[in-house]
Amino acid sequence: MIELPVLSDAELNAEKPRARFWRSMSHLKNDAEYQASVNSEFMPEAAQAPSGSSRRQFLQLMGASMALAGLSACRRPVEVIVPYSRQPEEVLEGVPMKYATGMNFRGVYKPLLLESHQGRPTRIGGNVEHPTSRGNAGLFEQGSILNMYDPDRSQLVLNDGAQVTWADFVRFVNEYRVTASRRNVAVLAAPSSSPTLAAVKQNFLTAFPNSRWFDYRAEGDDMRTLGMQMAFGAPYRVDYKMGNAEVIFSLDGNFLSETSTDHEFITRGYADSRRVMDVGDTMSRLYVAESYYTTTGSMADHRVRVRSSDIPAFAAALAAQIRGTAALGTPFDDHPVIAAAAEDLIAAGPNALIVAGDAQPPEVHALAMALNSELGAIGTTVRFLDAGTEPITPQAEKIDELFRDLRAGALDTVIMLDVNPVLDLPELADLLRRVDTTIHLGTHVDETASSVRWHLPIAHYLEAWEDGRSYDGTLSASQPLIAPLYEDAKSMIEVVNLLATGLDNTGYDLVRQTWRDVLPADKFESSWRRVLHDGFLPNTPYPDVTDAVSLRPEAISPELPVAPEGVELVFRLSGQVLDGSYANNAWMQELPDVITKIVWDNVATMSPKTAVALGVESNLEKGQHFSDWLTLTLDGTSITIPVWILPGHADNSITLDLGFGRQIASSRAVRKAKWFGFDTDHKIDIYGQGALGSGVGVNVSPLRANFDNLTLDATIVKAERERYMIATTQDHGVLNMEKRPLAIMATMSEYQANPNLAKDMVPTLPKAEDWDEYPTLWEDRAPATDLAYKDNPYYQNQWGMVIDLNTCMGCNACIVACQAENNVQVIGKDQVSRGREMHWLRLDRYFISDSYEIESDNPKMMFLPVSCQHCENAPCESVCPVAATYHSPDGTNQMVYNRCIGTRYCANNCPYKVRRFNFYNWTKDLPLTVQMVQNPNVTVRSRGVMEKCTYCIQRIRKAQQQASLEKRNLRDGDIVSACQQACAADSIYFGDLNDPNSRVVKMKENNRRYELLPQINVKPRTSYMARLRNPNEKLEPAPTSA
Amino acid sequence: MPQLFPKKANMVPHLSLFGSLGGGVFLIAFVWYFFSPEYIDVGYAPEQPVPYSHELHAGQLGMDCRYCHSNVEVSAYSNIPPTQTCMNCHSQIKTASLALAPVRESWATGEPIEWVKVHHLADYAHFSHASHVNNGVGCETCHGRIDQMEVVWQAEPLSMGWCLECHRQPELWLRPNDEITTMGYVQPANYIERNIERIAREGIQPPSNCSACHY
Repeated sequence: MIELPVLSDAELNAEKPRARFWRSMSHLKNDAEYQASVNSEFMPEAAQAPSGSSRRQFLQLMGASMALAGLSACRRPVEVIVPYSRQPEEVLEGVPMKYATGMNFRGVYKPLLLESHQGRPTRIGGNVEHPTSRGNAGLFEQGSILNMYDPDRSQLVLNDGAQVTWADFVRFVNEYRVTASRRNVAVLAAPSSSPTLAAVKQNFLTAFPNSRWFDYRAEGDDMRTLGMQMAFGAPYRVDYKMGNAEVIFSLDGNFLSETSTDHEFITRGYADSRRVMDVGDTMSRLYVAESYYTTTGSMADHRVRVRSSDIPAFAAALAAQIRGTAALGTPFDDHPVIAAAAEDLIAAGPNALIVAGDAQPPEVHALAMALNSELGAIGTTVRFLDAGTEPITPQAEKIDELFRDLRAGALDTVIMLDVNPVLDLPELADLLRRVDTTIHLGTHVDETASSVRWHLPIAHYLEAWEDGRSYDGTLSASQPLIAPLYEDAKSMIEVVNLLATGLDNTGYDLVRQTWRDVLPADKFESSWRRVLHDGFLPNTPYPDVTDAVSLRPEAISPELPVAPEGVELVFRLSGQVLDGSYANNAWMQELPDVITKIVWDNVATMSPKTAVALGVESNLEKGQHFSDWLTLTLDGTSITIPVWILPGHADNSITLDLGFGRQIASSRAVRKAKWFGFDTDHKIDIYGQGALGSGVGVNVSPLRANFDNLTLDATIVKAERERYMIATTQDHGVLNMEKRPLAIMATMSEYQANPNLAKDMVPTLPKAEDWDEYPTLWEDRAPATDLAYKDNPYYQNQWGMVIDLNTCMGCNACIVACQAENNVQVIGKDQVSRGREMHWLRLDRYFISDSYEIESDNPKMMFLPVSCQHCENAPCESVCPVAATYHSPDGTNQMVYNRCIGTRYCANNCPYKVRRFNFYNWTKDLPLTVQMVQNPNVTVRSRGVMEKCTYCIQRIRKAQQQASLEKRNLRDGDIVSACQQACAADSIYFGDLNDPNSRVVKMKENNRRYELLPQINVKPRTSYMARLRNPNEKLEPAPTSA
Repeated sequence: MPQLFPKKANMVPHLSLFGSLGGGVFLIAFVWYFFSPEYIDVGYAPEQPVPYSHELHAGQLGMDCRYCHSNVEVSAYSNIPPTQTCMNCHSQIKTASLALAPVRESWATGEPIEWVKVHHLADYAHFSHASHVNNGVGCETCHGRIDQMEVVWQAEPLSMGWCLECHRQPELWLRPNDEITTMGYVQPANYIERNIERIAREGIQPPSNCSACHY
């Protein structure tokens, strides 16, 4: 037996940790329950037999299925090839095409570039040439493709619940329009930036003179725009130039939120301001005062936990400090962070930026802009665009009016376009039933659809001709990539046009009609084709009105009262299902929440102290989390929701996610047990039990009055119910390396004092082995030096990856990108809670407390994306009895699925816990439409097969084949991994280590580079760059000795 | 007590030992051959919806493979031609042929013809036609004498071992790029030297590691 040197206890204890890294409250307590669940490679539940059945029964089943499989395998399956009848121009079978298109996301157009395989769109990326996207697409854009393939999408026109056709509806509209001028109509529409929709809407308003139209947002008003209306008298659009910012103060403003409409370029700008390549570089400083622990908070250099209700007072105190005026008597007058931040902001002057959050009243937004103006920041870090928005009336007033009219019977028609208001306003359902004509255009037969006369299925944006304006105003046109999957599905433009004119025009004609006014008449066809090809018309942003704005006096010192004591409720859009429109999307439901890592649920999130005060708990039991329930009551409405305890959350504050608790009708049959109950597949078939989003989580929206995102008036009591199991991945894949940091975080001053601190912080091997000199690594010290490897064409390229933790904001876009690219399957809540999740890339979220004592009030936070590290000395390879996982000559560690016999030895031996095992055949019963989203370039795995990150080997091979056809060498940048492509912050670098000029080699040479667990000498190909913080020395003096 | 077993019963253990050994060897040999793609797959000649004869078109008429399989040089997938390609000629020739009725029907209705796939690779094996035909692997090398097939049948096992035969020794199989579609191509006497020279010049290195095809 080989004796390996091990660290003795004395040596271990001698390594004094600088900070404590932990992943959950259970981890912090580190009790026996937690130890039991993380010490073994698989979670206690994961290695057990599949759902419900014992190991013996499992073996019986396997035996029986083997026998059956043996019989059925005797026949060769007959496959057919179906060529075109008439070949479309430019289509080459086997070569995917790319088309520019775009989607409407919360009223803003997002430019996209789609990959399509013979008319089957499979993957969404950002439009590389578009000024706002530059190739990045957020997680909602990427996930939206599964919305189109959703098997429970509404497919038929329904009249009083009976199936009719679009032609019936057209007939109805033509009869209905006879009395158009006498109709009292209310239209609730999803916000849109489409010029064509604006045009048909105008026609509609002319045809129906007694109508009113308003944009309906489930989350309520856009507070930022309301704030601008207050500050400048017009609802200007704010364009933050994060790249210019040196000091940022966020007042509950989660500007890095993945739900925001300007997510890609805010993220990109902020990442630019934080990017550090060497000790000489500077970095912006971020102060955050917030209630929930947001992604923005995780990036903060100084974070203050404060109730959202206290932010107005906090803002007033900050204003007083900046202006040097007398203290206002708020509880925050003497707050040390305010004093230090004010000084910092004043010093930064034009490069300062103050951002207010979505839950804050317009007054706070106005004051933030007034302060920006006083600091001289307007023009540098913040600019204003005139998006042509009409002055905004708060949505609550419009809804109140609607309810008044409905109760009085003053409306004879209500039209709801791509909105689902009954989810938020359940009492609307009964009122709608009393209205003469109700029309709903929607994605599902949902809450609203069941209380209307006419329900129309909406065409997905990939099936329809549309247009819109991106955040900066660039005019863009979007083309369909596929004919509507369901014949009667129509776009919003087509439906409004039908109502307005009675003509059943196609979206194509309507959109072209609008663009005839935009493009030069003499060259219309060629310009139109150009616009479709590019996806946008260059140089058409909204007018920049930065120099013309002037602050109104009420913005400078608005009334900002001190909030009373009490526990507040804060509502926000979900980072998974948004406002509920992604609720039936399997990828999004199974996406671990950025902070809590919870899947398939929403919870009432609170701080540990608040949980104690309310008498509720959430504990780990046998590897699963069980939570108490809370009943929240406001104005007679109450909901019961499980709790979640989040360290770093503000005390006396509870955060609730919107968009869950949906009720979606499904026309598919509910799947039952087969083979007298011996077949357990129905238990894991997420599509087998009706609409997968139905009944997931709790709908918290009805609790809100007037769409307020903030309330202090709720009654909160513990509900006496059995504890509820919550599936969270926060304790999955824990690398149990106490006192040895995996995620490295240091301050700028520490980094400047010791540029090599990352390498100094990670443990070293007892016997030094100099292996980090890339790219000679493979050449000299590769485990396999035999000729067979060197004589391989792939040997010339040695692939490697670097992830810059300094700019990783944990936005989850990479996870969805990986899922879409690599056919990663969705397995459902129960399976995730057993630790069987399939995501190849996991985003570990670490809390960091300064001392080693148990302390969880305001920990810092950082993210560590972990996928297969592609070790040179890969421990998985040496234990595979069938060589199914092996080392490719290009230095990557690859899985050969057809060889794998499922021993799981490799996963047992993987120090990073990144291997994923197909405990079931997740793909066996996928609905046909869901099968269509699979990437044809990646094998769809079956039961009993191990899988893991391949460094997107299919993209590497494709680029190699292309380069070989073009008789050239590979260039740096030919190969972009899916996660890298999605990363708006540009935190992921991938490339050839043998190319000394490649970006990845430059990153490998960076002094902040380190590897995970270097002491075990597995020599990972993926490296990380340590996270840096830039604290204010007044608040956090640099340690005297480095 | 009389002997229960005759003396020759002593042979039974030996016989059964040899029998089981021999039987084992036989069983292995049996499975080795009769379960192999070479036995099961070679010769697979399903009936097609249209009695299209490669023997006539590619053989007697001498049409180039790429007239119909036009993507083979640029795509991983060599396409089966659209009905349109058939109709290029058959709108003029044999317009009343009964055998061509499905083609005319497809052309009239726009409904595709459902051809039965003959050469089947497993989904976990990724293969690129373009990479092969541009590097000197002839159609004939894998598909056999298509020009002599009335009904297309599988001529080679298309098993991994068979792929590797060529990937390990490409010089035995390559031909000049302008002879790719030639049927019945006869290699010149010095073809191995010619191929070795070409392989060195063009850097043709067929990979033989797993992740070249399996991902």
